Amino acid sequence: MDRGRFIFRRLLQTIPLLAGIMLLVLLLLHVVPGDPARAIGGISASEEKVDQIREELGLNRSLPVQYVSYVGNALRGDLGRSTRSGRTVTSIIADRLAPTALLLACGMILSIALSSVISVISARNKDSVLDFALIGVTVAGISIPTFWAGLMLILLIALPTGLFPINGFGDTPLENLHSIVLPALTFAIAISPVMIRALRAKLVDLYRQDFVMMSRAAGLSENAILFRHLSRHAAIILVTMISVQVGPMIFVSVVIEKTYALPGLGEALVNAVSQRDFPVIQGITLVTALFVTAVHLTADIVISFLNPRMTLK
Amino acid sequence: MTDHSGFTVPTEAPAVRAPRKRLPGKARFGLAIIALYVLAGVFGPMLLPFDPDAANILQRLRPPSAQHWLGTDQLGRDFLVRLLYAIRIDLPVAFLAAFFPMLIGTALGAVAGFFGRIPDIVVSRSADIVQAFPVYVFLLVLVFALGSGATSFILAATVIAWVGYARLVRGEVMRLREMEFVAAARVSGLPPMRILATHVLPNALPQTMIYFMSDIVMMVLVLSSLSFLGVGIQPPTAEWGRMIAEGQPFLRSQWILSVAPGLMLMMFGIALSLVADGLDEWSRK
Amino acid sequence: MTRILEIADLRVDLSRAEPRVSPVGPVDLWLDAGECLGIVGESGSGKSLTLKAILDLLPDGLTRGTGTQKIAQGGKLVPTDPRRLRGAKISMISQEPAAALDPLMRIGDLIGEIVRHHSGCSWAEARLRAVDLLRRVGVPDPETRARFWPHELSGGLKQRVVISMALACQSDILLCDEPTTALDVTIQAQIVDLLRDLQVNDGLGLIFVTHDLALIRQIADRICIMYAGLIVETGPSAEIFSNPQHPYTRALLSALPDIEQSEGRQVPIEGTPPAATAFPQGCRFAPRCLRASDVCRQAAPALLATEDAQGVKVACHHTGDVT
Repeated sequence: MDRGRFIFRRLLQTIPLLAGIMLLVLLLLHVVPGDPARAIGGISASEEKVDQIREELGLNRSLPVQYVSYVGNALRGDLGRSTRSGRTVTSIIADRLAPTALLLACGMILSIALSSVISVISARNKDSVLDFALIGVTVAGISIPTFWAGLMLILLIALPTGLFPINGFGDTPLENLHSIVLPALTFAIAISPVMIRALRAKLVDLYRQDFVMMSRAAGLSENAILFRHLSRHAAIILVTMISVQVGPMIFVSVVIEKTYALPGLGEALVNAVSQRDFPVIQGITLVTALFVTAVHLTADIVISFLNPRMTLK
Repeated sequence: MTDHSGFTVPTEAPAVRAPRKRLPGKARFGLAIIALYVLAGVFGPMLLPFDPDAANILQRLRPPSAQHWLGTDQLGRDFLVRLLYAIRIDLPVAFLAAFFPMLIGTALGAVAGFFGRIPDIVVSRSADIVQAFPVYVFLLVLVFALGSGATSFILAATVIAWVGYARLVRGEVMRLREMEFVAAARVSGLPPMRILATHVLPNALPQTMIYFMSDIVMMVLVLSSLSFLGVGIQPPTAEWGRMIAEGQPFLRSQWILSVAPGLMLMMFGIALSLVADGLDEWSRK
Repeated sequence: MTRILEIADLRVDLSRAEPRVSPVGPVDLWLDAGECLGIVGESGSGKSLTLKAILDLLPDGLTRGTGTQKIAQGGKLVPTDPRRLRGAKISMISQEPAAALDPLMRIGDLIGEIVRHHSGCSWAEARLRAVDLLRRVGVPDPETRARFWPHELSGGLKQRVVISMALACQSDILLCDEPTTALDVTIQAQIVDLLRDLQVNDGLGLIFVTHDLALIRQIADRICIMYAGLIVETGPSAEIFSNPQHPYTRALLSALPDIEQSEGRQVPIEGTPPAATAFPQGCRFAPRCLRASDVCRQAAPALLATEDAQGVKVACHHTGDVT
């Protein structure tokens, strides 16, 4: 079956991709001019400390050996230890997974909902005052720095009303959700404009198509046309956009975590960069790269189900 | 064929050249705004006698006054001057961070699209691997490797952002390659590189320019985000993102410290977007 | 013959033109049960727009001007809003079958959706009826074909599917907007045969728009010749072809290659039709007409019945003149 073969081929392609990613992650350390161990330890670290780092991280071995041992360890779940705290990188990642996951999930759901509604309203009322207003807001939205949007939400909503926490994640699931509301909203503000632009353009194009005219000629209602025909095309665009926007989405979540002091992976990454904690940087980067690859793969598979022509490559 | 009432029916197409199209209004408006920014950045600091880095704790967090038109920040520095000095950082760095990727990406994409086969495989696979990384996380990590500051940011951006241009140009070149004027040029014996450079690439330029404009906006946002996070431009240098971060603890009292730099960012981004949209319309007509 | 459709004063206006600019109209049309009306004209004559205006399916920038539309309902002609006719009394097929089929749905579902919309039956029932409709339009092996995606079909099959979707509406009238123009000549003939079959055996009324005179000769009972948005001549097909009155019709027919007529050169008509914003005062064909006189340029001729020919109407100041 065409689709089965397509999926299999895609899965196969991810293996060299992952191998390349892990190589790049390892190489990152060696991009630093000078001695990598010194770069981690810092300028003021003592020689013993630097030697200790070199031993711990195996930096004195040849590159291929380092690569193989890193991959081997990674496959067993061992991503090394933080040079700051000494905790295993895996445990740090496990601890910080929840806020990031919740933010991404809620943020994406909100973005998809917001984008769909606004782009449909805009496309169906093309060239009206409403449409121009929405387009204007969308263009402005693309230029809003995420962190600033977050601060504005804090300034305009959280502070005056006191309804939402402005930092921290809380302990109970309910508190977690409560503290995610504003961050998720910020996420939607950051991500939706690009999606709205693409969706609206596609919808406007679709409404000009003959098959829409024919559906109208056959007497189908506007809503029927929208929900049964256009939704499929729109879904393809949405999934494609999500796939393309994964990188920015992750960056946006990093920034949001810092703005709202959410103890997630993004915040851990930023701290690790400031503290030059290489194993943590390496581990989180790897995890996020895996996530991105998984999203791309899933998106391709979903689209192959929606679009019958894609498998005929 | 003319009849006597003066109705002339043309029997062949009139040989009239299309007039040079004008840039749409929104693009000109955007360019005007950008010009304002440049002027403010170049001349503004000369007109205000304050040192943007000079801390004066006794004067911290003052509201707007006759002496300090927008008040002072948390270290007593004149706020307006810092806003203007930040133009000198954010604009050029963002521009360069988009410019070098454009040069490299366009070159690589053009070669990949035009010659196909091995160059295409090499370029496309490299692009895939770079893109597989969550691009901006990759940026963070590169900043770690290269240190913070403007140069490392530009370097990091170049390593990552060339991919977008490469893919765009590759696609355009592949499309143009099939057109008749390329076949004509080939037949006339011109060397392929020459055809690529003088015939094919110029046609791919409009789309690339539009992407370049949006990319600058992207770079400004990323630069300010990284500075906000503390891994971009380092204090005490004035930079909008950094200033917003420094203003965060004072949201309740001196909210202008966080609001104003954001507005500067936004307006710059909108202006550039207008130029990009205008260019897009202009190239389609 | 029972009249099933009567349209008076149909116009298509440019939406934002002040004062009013009408690329089409005013136009009067009617159709009897089981009859095929052909609308012929060159590109830019407004024939497609006329058809789309009947169901108010005009593209952006064009609106339907006021005009009345009466449809047969319970034996009488009743004024009806064009949108309510869609898919009910009148259905439509257009030129590009590939564009008319949503590429993301299987053709059985595309047809079934319309069946369901009109009868409210279940999806299972709708799918069965879709297969029946496919069989009716001559699609071989309909059960298997129903599971196909549009891009898996040839052009001719696609058009048959489009026709079956129109049939699913169970209407009395089918509007055909150049349905064969985009198809190969051999396929054209098949589609025309199918439409004729539906007309003769199922009593479907057709309004067939095309620029192809030879085609219209085969299929139409009555013809309207359109030029620059107006009907310049109309009448039974046989009459028009044997005895064209309007100079434009005469020129069209002489430009038509005819195997039987080996004498007489083909005379192409010089010039192009006027743009809607620059319609001449007076007869719109006058600038290209060899017989044009002062009265033609000043006053637009009305569509009037001729004395001799039966059922023929011409819009010309010089009818009755011998060429």
